[in-house]
Amino acid sequence: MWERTLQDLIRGLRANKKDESKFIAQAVDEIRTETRSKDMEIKAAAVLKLTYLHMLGYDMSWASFHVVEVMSAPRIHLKTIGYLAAAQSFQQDTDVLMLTTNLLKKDLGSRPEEVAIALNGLSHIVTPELARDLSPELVAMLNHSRPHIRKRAVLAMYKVVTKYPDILPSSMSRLRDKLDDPDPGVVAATVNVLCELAPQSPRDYLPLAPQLFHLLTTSSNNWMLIKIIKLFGTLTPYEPRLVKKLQPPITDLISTTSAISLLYECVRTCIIGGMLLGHAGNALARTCVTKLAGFLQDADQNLKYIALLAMVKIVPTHPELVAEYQDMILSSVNDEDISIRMRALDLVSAMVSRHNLQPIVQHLLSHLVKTESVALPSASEALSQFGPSQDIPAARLGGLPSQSPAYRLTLAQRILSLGSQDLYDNVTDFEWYISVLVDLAYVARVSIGAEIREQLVDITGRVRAARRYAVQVMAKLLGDESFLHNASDDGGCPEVLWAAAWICGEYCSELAEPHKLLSSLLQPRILSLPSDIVAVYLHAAMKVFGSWATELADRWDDDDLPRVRGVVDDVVGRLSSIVTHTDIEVQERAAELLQLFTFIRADLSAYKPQPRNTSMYGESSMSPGAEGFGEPSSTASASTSPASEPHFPKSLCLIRPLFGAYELNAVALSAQASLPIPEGLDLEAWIVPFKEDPTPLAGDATDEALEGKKGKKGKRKGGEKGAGKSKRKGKARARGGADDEEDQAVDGNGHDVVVQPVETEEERAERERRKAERLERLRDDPYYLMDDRPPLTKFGATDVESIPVVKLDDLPPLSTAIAPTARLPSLRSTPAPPAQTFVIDKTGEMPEGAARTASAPVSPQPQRPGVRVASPSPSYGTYGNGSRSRSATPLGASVAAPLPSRFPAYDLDADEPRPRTPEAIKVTKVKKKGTTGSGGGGKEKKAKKRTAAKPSESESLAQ
Amino acid sequence: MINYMLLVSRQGKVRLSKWYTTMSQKAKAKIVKDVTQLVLARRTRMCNFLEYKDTKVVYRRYASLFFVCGIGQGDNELVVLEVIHRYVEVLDRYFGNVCELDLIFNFQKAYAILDELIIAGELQESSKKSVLRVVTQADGIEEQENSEDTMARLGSLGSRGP
Repeated sequence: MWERTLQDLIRGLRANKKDESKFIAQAVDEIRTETRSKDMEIKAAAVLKLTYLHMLGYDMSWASFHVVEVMSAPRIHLKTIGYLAAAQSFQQDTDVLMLTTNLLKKDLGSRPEEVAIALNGLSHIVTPELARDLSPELVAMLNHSRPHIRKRAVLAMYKVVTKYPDILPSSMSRLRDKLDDPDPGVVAATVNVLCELAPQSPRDYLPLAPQLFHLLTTSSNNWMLIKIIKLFGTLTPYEPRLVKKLQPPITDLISTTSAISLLYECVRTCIIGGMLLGHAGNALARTCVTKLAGFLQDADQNLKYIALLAMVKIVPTHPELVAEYQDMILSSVNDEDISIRMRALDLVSAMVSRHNLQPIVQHLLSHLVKTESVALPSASEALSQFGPSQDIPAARLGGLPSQSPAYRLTLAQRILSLGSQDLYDNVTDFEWYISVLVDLAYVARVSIGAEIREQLVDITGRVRAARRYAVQVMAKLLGDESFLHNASDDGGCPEVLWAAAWICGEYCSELAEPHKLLSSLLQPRILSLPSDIVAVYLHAAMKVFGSWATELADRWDDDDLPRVRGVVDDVVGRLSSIVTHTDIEVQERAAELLQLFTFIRADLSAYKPQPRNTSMYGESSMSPGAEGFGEPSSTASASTSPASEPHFPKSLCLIRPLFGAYELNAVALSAQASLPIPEGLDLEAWIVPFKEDPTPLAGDATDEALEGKKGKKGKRKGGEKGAGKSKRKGKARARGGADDEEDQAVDGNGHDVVVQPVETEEERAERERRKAERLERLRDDPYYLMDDRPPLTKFGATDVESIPVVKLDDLPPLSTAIAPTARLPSLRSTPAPPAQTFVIDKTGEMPEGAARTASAPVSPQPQRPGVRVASPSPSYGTYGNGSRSRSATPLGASVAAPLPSRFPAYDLDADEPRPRTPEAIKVTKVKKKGTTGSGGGGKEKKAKKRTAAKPSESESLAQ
Repeated sequence: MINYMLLVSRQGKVRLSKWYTTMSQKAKAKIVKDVTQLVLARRTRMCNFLEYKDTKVVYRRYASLFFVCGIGQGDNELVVLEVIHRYVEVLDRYFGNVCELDLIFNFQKAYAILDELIIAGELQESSKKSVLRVVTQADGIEEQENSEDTMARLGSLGSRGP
């Protein structure tokens, strides 16, 4: 025997570590010739070697036929090799699998040893076809005389059922009988299979409950008890009466068993099966939680993990029981083990409430902080006032899990979702929460900025009382050079600056000295930020200036003039560098801004201090009291009416009214729905009633209008005929005489060829001919571009096929296309009434027009990716001094209409939608990055290593 | 049910891989790679459970080998640990103080023993004794066949034993 045995191959592999690929290539070549050998022993040995190489990642699909040959070997130990190779290497699409059907059939009918091998192999390689063809044999095998064959058959049955579910109904009764099998192994196997099958349609398995219950109360096989209990966990939700029946035995098991896996399964089934409700359930729940709390303190990390996992499920129904162990759970969040940490995080998030939110969030935040406290002094500085807990486990942890970006991201997201749960229901102190958000932006070092931005904007919009604080913090953030510097780094959260700029701009009236912010907002450094953020910066700068200038105008003193000039010059200077920004949005805004400021500068330089004007006259026209937020009319009249020449540079009041007209508020969830639908607007209705078209004689208003349209169109196309033909058209129709070419044209165009019973054959032919002619004429008409194919002439089906979609005329006609496409021709022939089209466009441009109501603060903002809880931000709503009631406000036209009348001086305001800050959609990439591990140090010892087969900490199942 | 069972050495070499779910070769290779990495990064005294995508990974280290099982979300982690332990016990009995090299050179035996313990991802036999009995019986048959084979070779090459 000169062939290499498996042992030789393995030794060779170990000896040729340096040149493994060459060695393997050589070995595979040898194997290739060996597989062609006539000697089955050699062939089998070759296949075995291949199987080994396959395990190391080498391809063996080329040898699948040889594998089948070995499978059919008469000797059992060779057959075993063949089946092993098949199980390891065959895929569902391996083509030789169909050769195995008869082989398997034969083996299944052979000696018990072969049957066992075949059943085992079948469970691996089964395909739907094999399952179908072999299921009769397999079902018969369920009644085999030997229990170990029955057992295998039952388990193989599970695989066959998953591949070929049709067999299930007919084999169910057999499977059910196996629950009463004299052999306990068969019963256990059957329970296993049922446990896997039941979740697919639990109701079908309810009849098994009595048998299972009997097993539950009589068996002492823990392996099986676990499965039975799990199975009951699946069934109880569908049969509430089971709960009462199961409570006693399960309570009994929980209190007596020594096997923790069984105990755990019982606890889990209690939870899933809803057995913890009611009076008896409460006692059971307490028992469960006490047991689990015991696990939490256990030295065995596995038990800790399990306990945390199970407690998460109890919290929803019995939060108070779990809350007793809050400290213990919080300390698990510090665990070195990432698995336990994540479970503890889950649990912590599940049990958060108004009372414990602050400590929990503070605790989580401290995890993010500690490793960073040196690198980012501002972070710890910012934290020092809020987070006394930051020193807790910092040193001890060494920060291995806290360093992983995936973990940090999870933690940051968890903090955010804890806070925003149920619309910040658990937050009692928003100033605290805002500072948490800012801290998070500093310390997270993962790209969580978009989520933080959402929440910041959302909170500032919703919580009036927190605005002043938010603006202060945000102004500080904008002025933080180091944050700006780090923002462009990975995980720098530049989006937070978006929020900061927006908040400072929108609520700059809360700022003491807004103009000081201008230098932060327009500093050259911001150009390193993403362009959408720069755009918001520019906008915020404009708002801040506007607010400041208006305030200044209120208490104008000519001494202010140089100061204002200085600021304006400064702004103009800074803007001129931004105007050349590569992003079009930024460029445009900068250019606009620059023009406004150039105008202001010109106005300022033209302004001559007029001491006499500081009289009562100016005061009266510009009463500072009226200069409120959302009350622009007074400034409006002041700056525009020539009669009252103000005592300050008029241009100071140029910008503010552009922004301050309305307050932005969160939009109620139902706001859109509660808008009454404007009279006569029915978006569902066809603009041209399709069916009614042939009977225009009815002559209602719509029809008249349509007729008018058609007539007009006809005139345009046909050229010579008059417009008032609609009547005649109707008549022509009615009498069936088809002289009028124009009418025919319209008809044809409308595709309304619903068969007129009066129409004779030749009339129709004539009509078709004319239609074809007309279509020919219209071919080059730009309005008819869609219809460049003459519609088919059959009625009935014609309607479908004459539709533009039919351009794909190679395809079979789409029957489903009838509804949508039938509308198209009508759209073409009669455009919608202009007013209505306008309405729709208007709504498209203007975001929600609903007014704010205190009772409905929820806004249906679309969720951004990565934000778990909806964080609605105030949209640009119109809120006209609270006088316009939402319910009375129709969409569109009527929204646009009253505005100019309300603010006559600033009709610009209504026409021009508020400049929208660009949506900054940042997709948060969750990097699934495993904890990188080294290969183990490469100190493989050649010496045999003893395997410690009995670890002390394993708890054993009582058999 | 168990989706797969892997035996991985501390160096990350696969010593055994058994799949109870159908999956493409590529997907298997990815799981092996990722899970191996995850498991090797774990330290002692950490718990034996991991999460990988939406499955759970239960592993336990015996000397230089990691025994790794992938299971579904609803499965009982502790039981899977038991199954792993049971497998190690049987291996230990069969080889007599089993070590990694035993499993390398007799990998088909390791598979055979596993097949006696688990079919289709379910535990089929919880008794160590009966698993061992079946495996040694198979060995007996092999021996018998081999001796018959040798006799047949010595006699006439044309006729093979039954």
